[in-house]
Amino acid sequence: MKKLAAKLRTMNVANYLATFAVIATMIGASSKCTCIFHDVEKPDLTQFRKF
Amino acid sequence: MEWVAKRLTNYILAKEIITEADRAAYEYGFQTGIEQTLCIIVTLTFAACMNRVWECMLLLVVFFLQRAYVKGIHMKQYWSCFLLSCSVVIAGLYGSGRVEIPENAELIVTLICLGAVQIAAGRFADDEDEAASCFFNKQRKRIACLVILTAFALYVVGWKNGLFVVCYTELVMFVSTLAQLGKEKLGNKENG
Repeated sequence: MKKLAAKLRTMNVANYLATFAVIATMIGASSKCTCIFHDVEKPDLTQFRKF
Repeated sequence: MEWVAKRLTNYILAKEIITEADRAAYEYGFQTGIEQTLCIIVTLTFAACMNRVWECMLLLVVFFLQRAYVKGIHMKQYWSCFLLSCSVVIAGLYGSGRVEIPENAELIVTLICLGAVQIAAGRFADDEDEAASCFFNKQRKRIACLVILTAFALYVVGWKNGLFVVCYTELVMFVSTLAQLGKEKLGNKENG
């Protein structure tokens, strides 16, 4: 467990998480809806648009 | 999901990777990202058990691409959406290889549904700005062309399961778009 915690610390998980969120935000910003039958309330995502 | 998204955003905020101003965008990203990933993982797992992984991938690509630029019916709760999404995908995969429809009929149904979805999508109340509206319309047409090309390619190649999956996706898109259109019309009537 300690080894895993140390590895996670060196991997910088926060950066990977932020990258994942940015990609999802960019997809959401450039589309009408992202999920098949569910719409999450969109904040202002103009700066994340691809157009 | 909202709770998980908030916790993850708080975590990267604490690590000073983002600022407070970006909180809403990152929360949205986490929520939609996790919801989509979960749906893809569950449906692919079921597809693997049914030996229909390629059909599942084709269905998800066609479905997600079209849903991104065509408005359709939505559920209020995430879990009802999740269950409906997974059931729709699994039902399509179950039908491929079992439901016997002539290939010509599948191609014709695909084209008719696609055309109807394009017409219906143009009738939705537009709540986007001009740049977004123009972009979405262009993308919708491009994806429609891509779906037509894919359907013809599958017809020529003779991959029956693939053609069934595309036909089924278009049928679901058609029903979903009609349902949303009906919901909007009903809402307008109630509002006056």
